[in-house]
Amino acid sequence: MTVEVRQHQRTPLWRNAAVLKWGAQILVLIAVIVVFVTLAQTASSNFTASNVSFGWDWLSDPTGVQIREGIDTSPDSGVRALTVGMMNTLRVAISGIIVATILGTIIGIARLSSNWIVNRIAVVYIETIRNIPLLVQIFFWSALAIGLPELTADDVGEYWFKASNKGFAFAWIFPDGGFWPWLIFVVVGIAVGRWVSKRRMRYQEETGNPGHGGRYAFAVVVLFAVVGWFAWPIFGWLEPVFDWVSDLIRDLPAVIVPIVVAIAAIAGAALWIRNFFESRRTPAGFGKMTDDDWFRVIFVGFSGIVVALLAFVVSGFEIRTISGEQLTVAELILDGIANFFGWLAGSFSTENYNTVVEGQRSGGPLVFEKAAVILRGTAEIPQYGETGMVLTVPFFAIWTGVTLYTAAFIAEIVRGGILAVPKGQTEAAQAVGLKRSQYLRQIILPQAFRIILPPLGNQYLNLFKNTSLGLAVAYADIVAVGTTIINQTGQSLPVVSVWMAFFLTGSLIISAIVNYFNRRMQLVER
Amino acid sequence: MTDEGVVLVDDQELAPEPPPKGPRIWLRDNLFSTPASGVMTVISIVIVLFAYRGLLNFVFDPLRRWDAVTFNMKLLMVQAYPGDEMWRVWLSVGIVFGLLAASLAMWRLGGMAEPRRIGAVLMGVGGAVILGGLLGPFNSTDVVPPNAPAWISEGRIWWFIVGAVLMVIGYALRAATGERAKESIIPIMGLVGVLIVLGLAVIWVVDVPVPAKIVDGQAITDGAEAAGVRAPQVKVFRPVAESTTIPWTLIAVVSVIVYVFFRLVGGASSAADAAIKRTLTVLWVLAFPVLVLILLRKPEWDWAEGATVHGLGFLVMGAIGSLLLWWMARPGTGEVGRVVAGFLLLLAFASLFIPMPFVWRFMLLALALFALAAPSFGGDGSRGLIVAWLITVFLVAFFVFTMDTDSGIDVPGSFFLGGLSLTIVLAFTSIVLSFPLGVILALGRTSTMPIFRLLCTAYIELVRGVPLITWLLVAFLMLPVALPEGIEIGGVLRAIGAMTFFSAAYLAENVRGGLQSIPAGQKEASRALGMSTIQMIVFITLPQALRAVIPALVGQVIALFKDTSLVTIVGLFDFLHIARQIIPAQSQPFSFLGSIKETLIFAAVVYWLFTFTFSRISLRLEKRLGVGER
Amino acid sequence: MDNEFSDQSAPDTDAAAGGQAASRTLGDPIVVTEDVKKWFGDFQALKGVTATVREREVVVVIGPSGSGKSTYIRCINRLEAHQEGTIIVDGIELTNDIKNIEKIRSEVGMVFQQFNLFPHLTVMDNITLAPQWVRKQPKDEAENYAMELLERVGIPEQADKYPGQLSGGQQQRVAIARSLAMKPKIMLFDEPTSALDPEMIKEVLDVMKELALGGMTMMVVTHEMGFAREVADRVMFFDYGTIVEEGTPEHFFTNPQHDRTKLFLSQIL
Ligand SMILES: Nc1ncnc2c1ncn2[C@@H]1O[C@H](COP(=O)(O)OP(=O)(O)OP(=O)(O)O)[C@@H](O)[C@H]1O
Ligand SMILES: [Mg+2]
Repeated sequence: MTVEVRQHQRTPLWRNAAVLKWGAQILVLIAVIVVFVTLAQTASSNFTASNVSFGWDWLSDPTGVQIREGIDTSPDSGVRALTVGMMNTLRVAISGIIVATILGTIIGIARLSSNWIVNRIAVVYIETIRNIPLLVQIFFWSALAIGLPELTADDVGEYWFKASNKGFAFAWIFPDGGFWPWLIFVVVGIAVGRWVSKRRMRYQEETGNPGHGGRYAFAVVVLFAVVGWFAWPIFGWLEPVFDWVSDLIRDLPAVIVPIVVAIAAIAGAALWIRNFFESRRTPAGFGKMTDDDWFRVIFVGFSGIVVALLAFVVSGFEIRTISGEQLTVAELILDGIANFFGWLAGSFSTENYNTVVEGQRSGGPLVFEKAAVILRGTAEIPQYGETGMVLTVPFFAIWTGVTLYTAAFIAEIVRGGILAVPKGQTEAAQAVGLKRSQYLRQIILPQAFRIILPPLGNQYLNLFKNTSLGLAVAYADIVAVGTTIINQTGQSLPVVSVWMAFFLTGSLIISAIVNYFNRRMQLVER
Repeated sequence: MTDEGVVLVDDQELAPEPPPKGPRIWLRDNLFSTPASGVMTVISIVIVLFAYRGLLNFVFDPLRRWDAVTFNMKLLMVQAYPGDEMWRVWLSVGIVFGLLAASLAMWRLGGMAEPRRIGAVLMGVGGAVILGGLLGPFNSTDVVPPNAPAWISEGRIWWFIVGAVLMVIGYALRAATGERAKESIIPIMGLVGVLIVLGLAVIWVVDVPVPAKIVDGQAITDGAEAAGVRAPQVKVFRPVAESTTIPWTLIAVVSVIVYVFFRLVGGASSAADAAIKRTLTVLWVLAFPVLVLILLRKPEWDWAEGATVHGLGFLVMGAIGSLLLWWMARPGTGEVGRVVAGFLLLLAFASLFIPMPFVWRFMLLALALFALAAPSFGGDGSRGLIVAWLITVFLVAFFVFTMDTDSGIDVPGSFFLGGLSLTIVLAFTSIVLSFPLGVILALGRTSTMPIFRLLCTAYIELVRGVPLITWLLVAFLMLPVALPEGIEIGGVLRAIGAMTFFSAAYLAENVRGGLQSIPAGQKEASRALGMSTIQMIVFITLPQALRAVIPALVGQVIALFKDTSLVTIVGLFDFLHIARQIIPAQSQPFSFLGSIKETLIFAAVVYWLFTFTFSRISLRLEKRLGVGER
Repeated sequence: MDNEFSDQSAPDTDAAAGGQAASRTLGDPIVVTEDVKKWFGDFQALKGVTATVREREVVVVIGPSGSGKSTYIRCINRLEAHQEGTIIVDGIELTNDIKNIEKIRSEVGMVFQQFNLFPHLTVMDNITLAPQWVRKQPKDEAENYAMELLERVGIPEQADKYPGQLSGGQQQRVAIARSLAMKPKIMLFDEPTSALDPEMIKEVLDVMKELALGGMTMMVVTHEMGFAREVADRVMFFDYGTIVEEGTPEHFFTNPQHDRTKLFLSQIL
């Protein structure tokens, strides 16, 4: 049966849904690009006018930056200064995350306690800390620490713990010359311990006798640690191996870097596109590709090519090193990898044994030190010595601030997660006669963990970013160091891009770790 | 810095339920149920006692410079706002409180409370006060300041008396309500009334510490008089200045009257109610820009320029726009209208690169947006659309004109407000501005158009991945060089910009959650009814999405309010900056050097009051809207 | 409708039903689909569907789950875009032309299995929203017509309630009224009674029957064989994305040709 169509002329362009859809998108894309290009152009012309040009030379130029604490207090170059800042940021972030998690979990559980007074303490903690801006808290901790008594000449001596307006110093255990070889022992010990514990568990299931898996595993780990304490020099042969690898890498031609990157990018894109076509293929041939499908394919292919090209372009850039050489980025990267292996070689060197290497304390894997107050310089100013752990006032302020603050949020998350576990689980656990602490640890928390994990990851990200508030109390984190460099050199754009790269990378890593555990949890569920 | 608003789901208070079973049983059940619990209780009590004593010691230590706070109260609130213009501030506060009272009355946001819980709280506070008396004295470290009221310098007896009175009132409340104590029968607004009266009594009766210099046995407390005087500085106790007590009293009285009035008027007829509510909403929307831009700023209008640039702009754009919209909304125009609207949008974009008065650019952009919406919203007559257009153009012209005008309030520094008032302006403006941006980003990220999705996702993740302080630094260190010559943006505006862009990314994620929670069937149904994408978003998806994420949005508002404190790092004179930098560095006429702990604690308390109140209101709202149920 | 299938043995109702169908004189073709094909990724949901629906005709579409029934009727108002073949509705071909899409959407009403009422709007607003903003009707006109429709579907008293406060059957009747408010020429129903309790099914089917009697062109995906037999002019049987068999209900239920059809009917009846 045929029917006449009243409107069968070609669709005009401005009425074509596909044209409109892609036209609008491309126009907006162009608009965004135009805005960015214009901003960049004005910026660069403003800079030319004021005789500053953005570049990366400041990375290697000697700086006058003095840093109050960190692995290097008078760095010789911009890159070194930024590295010190990064390490300081990471120091706060990592230790803060660990402590905030523990504290937050305890408070979250206390918040659910049937003990009225414990419960109320948790409520007061959470409601106070959460509702006050973090920056106010950081300033408060700083003011509190600065208000402590000064160090005087009478204080000279060794201490387990000492607080003063210069900060806090206490006894601590540090890794030492034999630390890395010893760590191998411990890691192997943990692996063996797990295997042993599994064996014992199977034994328990088969025979019904108690297997004491945990105790066996613990004993194995301790055994390995003790043996390793004395036997670590046997890994000395790793030193020449790593040295050899290091030399090998140093001798490679620099082009290898962009080639590897480009091959990886293009291969990745090609693989993705192949899989995508594969998923659109039917027994009867190709299925229809929608315009979205085509966009994806084009986008991935395009990105792959762009990354590959960029790899070549960027790796050709020349950067001046501290020694004044002009090196390309590719050479620098190779150098960096080679240096890393060189460092590894040094870590396994048996020369560390019983000799005090500069910057390290003695020969063993770990060393215990008490804190000390000494008189420094000709003016004989009382100060904390090099030994023990010294927390400066800025570190204390920012660390306490972000840790306590994040702990309050984590507590709420933990509480929410526990409450979300169905009541029936508790009842069932009680019915089989588990004690409160037992069922909390073995039944409720593992289940709650699944709910807790994603928001917990968010809190880790927040804590990581909040460390940047150290700037306000002059803690030498990456933002503070960067600000100083900007003030000295005017290189705002490069420094800001370093900040962004650092924080985005850090955020990505945290997300990746959290996602990994999340996925494992989801697997356990099934 | 922004914490994904963790929202408290209220747990019907795990709190104690004393009397019915008797205190012994309560103690056994709630504090000593197991040996372990008993040990924890004892440890906790010790901790609490030490913390409490430490707190009291800190607060009542005569070395504490609370006079740094009380003396500088005006500085903390409005920085250097001129004294003879202070009525503008009071009027603004009064207007806000009046609107608040009216809204509370009309929307019946009061609710009821249980006398039993109130009684328990009163008894608890009374107990704490008595305990404080037992833990004292706190003034052993220093000489008693001259002029100190008896209840500090002398006897702890007052602690016991006050505590006992509170306990008696609490107990009486429970006894008086008897069996009904468990029901919610006491109106919360009544309690608020009692608190207002108490607050007034405090500012009229209680003396506060202020610094003074003693000359000939006379205490000089006035800063101007004391400026040149060389004499030791002491602390004396004086009543709150009348310039503060009288306005507050007036505001309180007016607010109560307004509340009662609207309580009486409201509920008479639903039509009248709806009209009043609508009016109130409009007033709220208008209040903020009017107060900040006009009342507090005292703009010195240049009427000639107003008539030539802004007035003319309004007339021309209003006329052209009306004609255009009328034509576009005609059913016959069809798709040509859409093409024209797209062209207008391009024009508005291009106008950024053509020198012209800023207001014209704004209007062009507004016209483009109106034109885009015209086919979707213009009815047959499209009268509503044109009226909306005229109002928009007028507001744009008026506010750009106002912003363009110098402030008549002359203060040191570049912005006419400082302290808490600046903090509030920063927070409010950024929230209001970031809201539309956040919604657009969320729509983009959930759109079916891949390039939009890509752009919005990139924006959101980039902004969220980097801390707010870096964005503030970018705005303060880099923006000035990236802007074309001739465009200068003041510090406050820069901070608002940075916070807006930052908070929009977080808001977008919240809104996205709401958008994704809407079942696909809703969109299909609206499509099947022939709605355009804009209509679908405006009528169907957005209203539902926003309702679903109200708690998260309020959390975001709270987070942004706390985040405003970061501007102190880039040197704006916000509340925190004055508290931690300005006051502890004051040496003239009175020295408050090093009084940072006191001012910080005061700042913390103020921030806390704001955020805590906000989170409680959001809890109530959440229950009222029954968000959780759907 | 608890014993729909025993209707077979009740010749009087059957005759009446047949009479209903016969009393409608079918008009010109209004929906024409020719060799319509549609893929979801690598899965082909429609493998060339050719069919014609005429004005005032009631077509019932049946078939096993996943056979493409929903996909087919969703293509007719372009909730899904077909990729090959032609679909012509009321003389307008469905292409990428947005003007045609808009036009067709407001001329083709659709009722869903899950009702898809707007939960944040009252029943009245649900019905008047589209007429007001899409058809640009004045508000009171739209409201009057909405009231009329609510009376027709038998729930005028529910106008100010929210969808969440109504029973499933009432919600589905509101959904029908909402579609009718746009004065469509064709109504599509996608399993309108599948999400309903048995006692509510009848009230919805009654409304649909009345609609059919009033001369509405309808395409109905349903498993209610009683409805098909009583009201339909034609039944289409779908399987694996094609029309396996079509014919009058009489032919279809008494004398199916294909083995697939026979098997399906034997399972469902
Ligand atoms: N959006 C989609 N994406 C991918 N596959 C889809 C989509 N919609 C439908 N399909 C697939 O297309 C096929 C036909 O689906 P359709 O909904 O048309 O079946 P149906 O005949 O209506 O079944 P039912 O009776 O269960 O409603 C199914 O196999 C389904 O899995
Ligand atoms: Mg279906």
